[in-house]
Amino acid sequence: MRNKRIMQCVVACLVMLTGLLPVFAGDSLYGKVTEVRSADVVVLDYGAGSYVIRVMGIVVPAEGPIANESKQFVSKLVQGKNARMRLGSRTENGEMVARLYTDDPVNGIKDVGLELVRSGLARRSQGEDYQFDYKYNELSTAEREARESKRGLWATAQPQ
Amino acid sequence: MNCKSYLFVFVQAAVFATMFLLPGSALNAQVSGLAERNMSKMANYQNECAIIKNPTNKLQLFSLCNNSTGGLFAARSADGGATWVYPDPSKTIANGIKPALGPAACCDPTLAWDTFGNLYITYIDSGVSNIITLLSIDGGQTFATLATFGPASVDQPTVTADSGEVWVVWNQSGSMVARGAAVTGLGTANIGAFGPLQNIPGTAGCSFGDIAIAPNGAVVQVCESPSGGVGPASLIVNTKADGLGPNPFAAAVTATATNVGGFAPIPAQSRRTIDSEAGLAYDRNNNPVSPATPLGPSPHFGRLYLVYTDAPAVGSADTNIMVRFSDNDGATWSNPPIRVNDDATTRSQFLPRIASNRLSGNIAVCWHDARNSAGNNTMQEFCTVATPTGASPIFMANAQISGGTSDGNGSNPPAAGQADIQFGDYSGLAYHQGLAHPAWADDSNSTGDNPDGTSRYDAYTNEVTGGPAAHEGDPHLTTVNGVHYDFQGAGEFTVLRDYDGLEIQTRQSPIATTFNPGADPHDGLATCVSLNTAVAAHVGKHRVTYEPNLSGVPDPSGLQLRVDGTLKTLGPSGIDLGDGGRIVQTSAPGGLEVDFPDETSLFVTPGWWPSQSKWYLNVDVSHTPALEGVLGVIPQSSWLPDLPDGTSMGPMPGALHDRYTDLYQKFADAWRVTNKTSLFDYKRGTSTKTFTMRNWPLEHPPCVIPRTKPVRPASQLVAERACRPITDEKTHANCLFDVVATGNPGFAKTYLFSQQIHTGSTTTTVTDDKNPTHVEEPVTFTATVRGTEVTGNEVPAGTVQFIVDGDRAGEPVRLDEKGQAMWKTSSLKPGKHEVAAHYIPNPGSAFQPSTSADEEHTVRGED
Repeated sequence: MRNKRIMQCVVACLVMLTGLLPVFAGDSLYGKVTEVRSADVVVLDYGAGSYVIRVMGIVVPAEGPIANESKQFVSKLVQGKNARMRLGSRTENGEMVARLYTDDPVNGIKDVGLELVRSGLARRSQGEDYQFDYKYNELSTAEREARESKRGLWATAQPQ
Repeated sequence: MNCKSYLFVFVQAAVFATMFLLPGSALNAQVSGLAERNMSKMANYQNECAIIKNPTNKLQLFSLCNNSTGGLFAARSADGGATWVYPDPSKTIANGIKPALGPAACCDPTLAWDTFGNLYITYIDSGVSNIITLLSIDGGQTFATLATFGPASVDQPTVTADSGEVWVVWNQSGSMVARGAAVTGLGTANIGAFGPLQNIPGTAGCSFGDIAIAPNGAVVQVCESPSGGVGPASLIVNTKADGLGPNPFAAAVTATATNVGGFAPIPAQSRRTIDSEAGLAYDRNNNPVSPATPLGPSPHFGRLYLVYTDAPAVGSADTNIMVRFSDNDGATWSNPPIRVNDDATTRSQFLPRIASNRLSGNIAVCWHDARNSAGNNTMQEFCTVATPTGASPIFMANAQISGGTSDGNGSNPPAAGQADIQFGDYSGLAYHQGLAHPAWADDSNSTGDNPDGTSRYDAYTNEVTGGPAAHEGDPHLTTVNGVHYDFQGAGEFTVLRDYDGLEIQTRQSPIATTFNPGADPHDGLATCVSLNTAVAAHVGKHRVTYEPNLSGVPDPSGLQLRVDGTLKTLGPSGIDLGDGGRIVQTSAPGGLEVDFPDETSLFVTPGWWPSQSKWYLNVDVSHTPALEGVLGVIPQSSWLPDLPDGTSMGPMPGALHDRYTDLYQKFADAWRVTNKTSLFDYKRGTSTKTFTMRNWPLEHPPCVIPRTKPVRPASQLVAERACRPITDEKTHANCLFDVVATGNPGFAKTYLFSQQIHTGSTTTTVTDDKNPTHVEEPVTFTATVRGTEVTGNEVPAGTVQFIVDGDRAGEPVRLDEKGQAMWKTSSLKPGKHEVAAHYIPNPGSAFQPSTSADEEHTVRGED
């Protein structure tokens, strides 16, 4: 019982702390990707400043060949190029959690997270697609397509 | 006077002095909402709502919101927002399932409705690469794709339509762009091809904007730059003076700086954050001076208003709603800005929306407001209204419109990595023909019908109007902003008017008395008194008067009703004045309800004073957008309503005599009607001058009128007994005053009738599910009965009698729990039919009967 109370206090304190953290969120923002930190974390420069963007709705391996491949995949799509993020939420450390779209004369408009999942270079996060702002099961459809085609993570029976 | 009499007078004076010199109550809300409605009642969340009203049919509204699980939530109302139905059982359009409902949507819906009847729906498609514009020509029942702009990197579209143009503006690859088309009528055949993409100069990194079309056809866009960061930022305006002409948008003008950047955090929206959310609205009232609109155009026809959010410093959560205006289509802007929110707190106001009533030039502003939140982290929806009179708008006291309080956890409660856009980026507002309709995301579940309880947003709306006003007894006035004051002038006065043609005038006649019960608590004046003895009104295209016999011979059988100077008898079915205007009986003997096209209702409750052979009237007004006249808004900086030219009366003078001269000379004379402006009917050889007594009320007793025997006061006991049924504290006090001053207990009766009408009045509307129909094709008529702002959420109960072409149709139908009754028929004969519904309250109900306006239904014969 006492432990439960302590836990409740801790949770309450964390919630309060969350509210005090610096926040950087909004709606949609257009800019240039100046850094690809990993397949799901990039830096978007909007001219008067920049934000760290975490791609919403996907899970990428932290290390290993798929991690490298997925980072290269994203770099090729957006590094040094124009892009738009559509905000979903933010993390406790102030990163924007967003859908990231290319705006490239060659590649056109592509959803980076969706392309990663479709290529088997990322899995969809747990939960319903709409909870990550995909209203038409796009993530599930893309993952099924990758799995059926045995791409990337799905090339082996046991995904990385 | 003997000792007993002196004692009697002294005691009465002491009682009344105590009663009236107590501190006055705080100002009531200057605008008020009716019962709010949950439009969506859907699982999961709906937010970022747009709402629009048909400029040619005040009963038709359409609303769209983001819907978290696909498509856009869509609803329409055919009864002014009382009830909402859906174009599809899914309650969505653009849902990726039915192509007829439009290409699948991502988000950001925006709406426009032109005077041809074209309803435009613009949104971002599911790939976030196209701006889609749908067209509906049947008020939001069916849709066709009008235009697709893309593919490109797009965001934040806004559609607007007016002056024969439709324009869409959006952010494309970081800059603002726009495309426009000419419109000459209803439907795609009358909408030209959209012109080439207009790149709007100086808008790189600018977003979160709006667009408006000037009455002269010029197009103006506003956006915020930079669109990232917590601030500061600038609001950039570009004008395309030639509308659809060949010239480009002009260079950017900075309308204002703001400390609220594109991603500014406040506790009430800490994750999504807010932007300045700039919005535009034009004053479009260019009414000609005519019998229908005697005031002519708005004094600021063509003025462009800009609403936005600002803060005292970057990073401050004390965000405020500000307005500036431009009289040259955005080239220059007023300075300093006008602060709209009137709270004294340092809490947040955010997500503002502005709209202008094209019929009057009034502007409405609604926003999310955390003033009542100790943690500054929850919000209620607030609104206010301003008239176009005066050099710059003076906003009425802010009114809370939402019944409940919402927090920022109504999208997805914060779960790591999930979408959680809180209230979103914007809310909706439509304002036309008298009523403003805000739309917002609400997770209070104040209506009790949110399937997710308080965990997810539903789409809420309400109807916002001026507060009820009263002009009762020895004229005790309640202004439309809820301030009480006594006005004892003698003559004929404009008590309310609006630029869309509404005007109400009253005639006040002096009363000789021997006793004044006490000073008016508003201003401390204890003058002689007068009474309302006639009323006149301008209703749509008609002039309505309700006066004693023009001959001057008192007739206790009743007052005379005239429409355009012609004597009328008011039957049970009332008199149709067209455009929604009508006159019907109330439950009070000789009582009238006059409904105006702009939704104002005027209630006249007469009483006969046998000993004086005189009629007197209580005049009550509700649901009105009119804000000027002796019942008009009293600005915060003044003690009386503004003068007709918009001049403020300023602060109350310190000396009682100065108050008297201000009120009964300067103010009263300014609002007296003239031979030119009078709406009354007169006996030949008489005019408004006949009824004018400039020196009345006398500042001090004796209250003597030549050749008139003064009335004798009643005792306090008699007054208390007579006024006991009057439950409203203020009205009860007015009743006591009047009965004591005049010795006439009959005043209590008229107050009682007024009270019953005020608290129990209902409105009934009737709609059909399709029109026209063919012979033997079933059609269902739905009657909806609603209470007033006083009855709030209580739903009227009883039955409805449907009436077709003046005859009863079947038996009365019982109202359901929503206050609705339906009648289905397939036996109407070919031709046009007028269908109405009459509400019959349950026995003992506090609600009053009401009859709807006629709904025209056409049955087509065999072709």
